[in-house]
Amino acid sequence: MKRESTVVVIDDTVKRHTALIEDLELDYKKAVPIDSPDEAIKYIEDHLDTRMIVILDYKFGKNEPTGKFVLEKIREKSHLIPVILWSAEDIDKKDFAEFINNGTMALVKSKEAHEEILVRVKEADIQLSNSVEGAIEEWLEIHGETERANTFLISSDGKKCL
Amino acid sequence: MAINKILPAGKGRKKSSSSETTKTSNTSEQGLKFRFDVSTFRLLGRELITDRITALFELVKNSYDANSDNVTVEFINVGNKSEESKIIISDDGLGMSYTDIKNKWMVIGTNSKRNSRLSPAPYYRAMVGKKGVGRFAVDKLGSTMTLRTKQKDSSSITVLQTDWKEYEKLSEQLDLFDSSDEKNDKKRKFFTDIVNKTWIEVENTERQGTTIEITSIRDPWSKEDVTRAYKELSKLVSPIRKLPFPFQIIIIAKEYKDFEYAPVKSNAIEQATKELTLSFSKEENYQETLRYIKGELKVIRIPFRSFGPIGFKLYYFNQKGKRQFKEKNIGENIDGIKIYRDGVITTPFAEYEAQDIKKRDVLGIDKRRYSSFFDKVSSSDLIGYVDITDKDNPEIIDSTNRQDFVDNPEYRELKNFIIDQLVELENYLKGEREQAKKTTKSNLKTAKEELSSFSNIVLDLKKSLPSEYHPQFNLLETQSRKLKIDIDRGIKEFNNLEEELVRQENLYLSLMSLQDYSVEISHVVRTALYKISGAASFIYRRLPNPDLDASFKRYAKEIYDEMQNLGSMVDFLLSYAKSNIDFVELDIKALIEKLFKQFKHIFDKEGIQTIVEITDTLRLIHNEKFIEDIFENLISNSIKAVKENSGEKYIKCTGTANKNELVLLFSDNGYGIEEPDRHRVFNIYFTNTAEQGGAGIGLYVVRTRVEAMKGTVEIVENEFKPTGATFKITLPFDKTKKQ
Repeated sequence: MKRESTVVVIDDTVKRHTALIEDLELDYKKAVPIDSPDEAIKYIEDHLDTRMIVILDYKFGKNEPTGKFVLEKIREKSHLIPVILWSAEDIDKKDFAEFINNGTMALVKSKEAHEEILVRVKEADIQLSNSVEGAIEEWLEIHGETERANTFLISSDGKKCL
Repeated sequence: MAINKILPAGKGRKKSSSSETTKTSNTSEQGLKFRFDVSTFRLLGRELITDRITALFELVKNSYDANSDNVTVEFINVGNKSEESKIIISDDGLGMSYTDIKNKWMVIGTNSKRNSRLSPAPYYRAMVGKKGVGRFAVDKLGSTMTLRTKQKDSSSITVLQTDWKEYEKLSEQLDLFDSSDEKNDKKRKFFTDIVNKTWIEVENTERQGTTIEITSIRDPWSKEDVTRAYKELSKLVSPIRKLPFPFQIIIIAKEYKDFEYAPVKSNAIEQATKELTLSFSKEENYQETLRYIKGELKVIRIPFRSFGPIGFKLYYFNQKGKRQFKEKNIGENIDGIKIYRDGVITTPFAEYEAQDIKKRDVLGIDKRRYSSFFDKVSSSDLIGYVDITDKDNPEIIDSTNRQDFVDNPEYRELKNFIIDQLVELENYLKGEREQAKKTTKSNLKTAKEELSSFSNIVLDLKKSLPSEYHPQFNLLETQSRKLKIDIDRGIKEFNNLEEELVRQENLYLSLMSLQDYSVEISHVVRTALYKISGAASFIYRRLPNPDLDASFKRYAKEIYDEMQNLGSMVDFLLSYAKSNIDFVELDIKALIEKLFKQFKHIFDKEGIQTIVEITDTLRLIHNEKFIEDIFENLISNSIKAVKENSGEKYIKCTGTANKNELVLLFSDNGYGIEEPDRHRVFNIYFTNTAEQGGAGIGLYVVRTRVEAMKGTVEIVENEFKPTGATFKITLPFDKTKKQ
């Protein structure tokens, strides 16, 4: 059975027909390869109500924003999306600290580590399933706008919580 | 001055902290509060403020933020540590009230400066201190501090005494505590429990401002240390932007000559070899930028860039200029480009690093891998001031550690703009050097000619005079002959040297190109391995599954293709390793025709027609392997591009030479290059022909080889219509011709 998450792979070398994408497509709801940092930021902003896991490359082409910038942009919008950093290059010490501070879930140091990335994605998915935030996101996804407006809880002093 | 009243130290604090203790120990249901261990101040003070120059800088910066006109930093008996050693920092700024001391100075991380980015009227200075930890800088300088502060029109001086030794003592005691024993909890004191003495004194004067007296200094200050402080403080305010309300720093260290009373001044830079100024106009909406055009470094106007208008002053120093600068400004470094916001330094922020090599290069000036080795200018050749403002450049945002800016498109463009200026300067310097070389050569030639006519005149004179005068003329003749031999030798040496320099330069360039290339090759090999391992993992984990048969087949093929790619990569590296780096004379036409012939079997198989139109006389002196690499890759790239054509398939190469350069046009009528891809086709690993085994290396090799030959390659309008691609390669003769 497929897992509920959409996995977004932000990497300038990733293509639709690669083993990683197909592997993810077979096991997850959707796998979305995006090769441009700007498009990736837009995709994430447009799908904030989706249960999402991000695999993020550290360096893109010359004059392109870096993975650090993409992560900052993601974190401006949401702290709930697990981000797995994926890089074949050594990460600058200062950048590494910022990645950690910005809640990077895991770091996969080698691009050959195909199976390690699958394990990390699975862990992220389990984390999402077990977290309260994950539950709220799922609830938001299942319920339409009108349903969301309905009273969900009534507190002991009679106040309605939406 | 009389002590009016002594206030209970840390008024109200003691009471509340003891009640906190009661609460927490009685009822854990009511929750727990964070308590600060004494090590916190160490963390804040000693680790955030990395050295004592930075500490001094932090305190002076506080004076700036407090609208001071003057700040005096006085070192008293600091040469040797003693009880009399003191550092006094006093300003004539706004001063603080008792409430300010209590609610701002004594509260760590006070965000009053963050709430308002400008200091009070009429100065409206953009606040420099933002972290709220500057006060911990004192600890870096000495362990006791007396702060006296007075506001305008107030007769009260608030005095605060902090003895960091008390904190240290507490820290030592805490180490002996058993924190698991609840009984000890009441006895345990925290950072926030230490009482700092404070009192109010009365003084009916007009004086205003804050004085910080630091005693029990941590380290002695030699004259060199004070000089260092002077030099770093001189960088606080931009030398090119006049502040509406000047800020003067004065250093006094009576025990040292030159520092009896030393107002800090930015050094007037008189020794620069080249001085450049760029400005802008908001009325006429232009930004000035440098452009090297026809032997001149011109300032031209361009529209504002995304980062907003900036002012830029740049001083370049050649070897002579550097020597003169060092002689005039002893101990001073030529230390690169700094950015000032609203007239005050932003980055590198109060950074002191004795070794130039360890300095951070936030603008990426020294990291430019692709710029030519010989013509590159580095931070140690430049002093520069970039002037930005909060208002005009809102997207250039300080990063939290004050050591760089937030990475965003505007900052990236600003960095590119600065680098562009340096590239234009480099082109100019290169032009100047070549001009100087030409002049020397021509002077030598003229000297030879003049000497020759001089010899002729001497000979004529000798003939016209009686023989008794001949011995003197013989002497003159011998000397002029000797001189002629020397000049001839000089010319020959000059030519040899020039030839040798060109050879060495080209050798360095090839090595650099190889160095760059090896980094990229490892990236390519890694990516191939990534594809292979992904595909192999997919197959062995998912087999057998009839639904995925097509995928299995595809991935098996992918593994095979990637192995082929790796194989050709190894072949290429081997050919590189074997290739001769010596330069030989090449007949371009014959070489290109030979390369086209190598691909004949593919042209025949695919039905591709080739056209090679190159002037017979074109000869280059260069490394044959470089030319082979360029054309092998262009040909193989074009084969892929025309393969799917339903009609005619053409690959064409034309070459023309003008006075200064060889221009080669290489065209095909394949599927062409989409506009958005044009700027990145020369990047490593960019490919549109992955299905045909394209690894995205070919055009990268073309670019690096052409650049190593000091040429350029670009995509121009396609020669064949409606589709196709044309590459224009320009190779300058002056780097390759025989001297």
